[in-house]
Amino acid sequence: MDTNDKGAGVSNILLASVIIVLILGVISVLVIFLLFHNAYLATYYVFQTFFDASNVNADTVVAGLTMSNFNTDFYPVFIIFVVDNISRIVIMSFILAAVIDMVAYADIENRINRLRAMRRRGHLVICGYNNLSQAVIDKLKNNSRIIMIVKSKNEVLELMNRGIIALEGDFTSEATLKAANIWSAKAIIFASEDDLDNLLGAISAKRLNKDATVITRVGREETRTKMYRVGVDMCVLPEYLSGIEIGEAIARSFKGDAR
Amino acid sequence: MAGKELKNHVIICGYGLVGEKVAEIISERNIPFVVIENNPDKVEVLREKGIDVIYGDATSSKVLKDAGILEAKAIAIVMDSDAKNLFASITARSLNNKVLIATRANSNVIKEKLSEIGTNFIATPNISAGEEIFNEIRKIVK
Repeated sequence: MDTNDKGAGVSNILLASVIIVLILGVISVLVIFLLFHNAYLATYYVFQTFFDASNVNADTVVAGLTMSNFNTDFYPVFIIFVVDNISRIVIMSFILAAVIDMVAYADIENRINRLRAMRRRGHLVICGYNNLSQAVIDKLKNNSRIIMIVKSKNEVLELMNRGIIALEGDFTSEATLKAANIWSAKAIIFASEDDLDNLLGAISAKRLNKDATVITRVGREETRTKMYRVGVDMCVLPEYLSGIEIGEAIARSFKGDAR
Repeated sequence: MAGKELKNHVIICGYGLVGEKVAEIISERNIPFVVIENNPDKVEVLREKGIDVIYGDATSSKVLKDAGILEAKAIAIVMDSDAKNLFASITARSLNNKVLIATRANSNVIKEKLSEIGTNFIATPNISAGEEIFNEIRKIVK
């Protein structure tokens, strides 16, 4: 019974697998019973086909069962039969759980995107998915030259729907930038709202690919000089410029007054 | 608080990156202003700097009245969220028909909505920056 306790405690997937195996077994028993009107035969065949996973052969046990014919030998044989098959259920469940796990966590999109990214030449890498990068993508008619690096799986799926290759990862790490085939990129845009992230990304990008045009978004004005110092080609300051625009617009309305 | 005694002043809703720049420009011209901010840490910092600040949500009409919307000349609604900006703009316009409303929008849809409800000036930081980037990379990536 030890194995059973262990099996139940492993994970929800395993529990679900146990239930699936049991349901399949019960359904099979019912189907065979309906066909042959023989409960014993049905159970026998189902155990044979479903749970013949271990080396311990149920045949001998069943043979013993048949011959013992409900005499005193029946009970010890029955317990062996039960323990044997519980262990088989657990083994089947582990196999099923492993298969479900592999399918669920294979991360197929990411693998496909990485493969597609490796074949790109002269492309545009955009780091961070937000209003700014969206505005850039909207402007670009040809989405096939963009590789995006985003933070979450949902964003990857959203961008895939728009026909854009997206990689999930942290763009401040060189490994992620390399996955986006940064050596052959023509331009790299760091659009994140975090100045420090953008700066770190820009430093790595410039080191990996000197010839690429690096454009960064800058929130605080004082970061701009740092960006130019590490070799960034162009900075955009959306908030800063809008602040000036709004401030000037308000100040203009005061000009008419006799102040 | 101080907002109520002011007249012909400017209200700045949200002291983020944009709000900070707006405050800087306005104070350079010696125009009186009051800030509405709902982050207590920022409120503390602003009070230490000696800036008039009201703690609260700029979408509520009570907070806007506290800031003196009825007597204000202009209001800059520059919070991060488009929805909040839209909501605050509607509230401000319903309280004061003459006030100049300057706000920011992150998408063209919101920009249209904002102009429909009668805001006077709309800045689109991300869209303009996106265009700037596009003009730069158009030469490189065709």
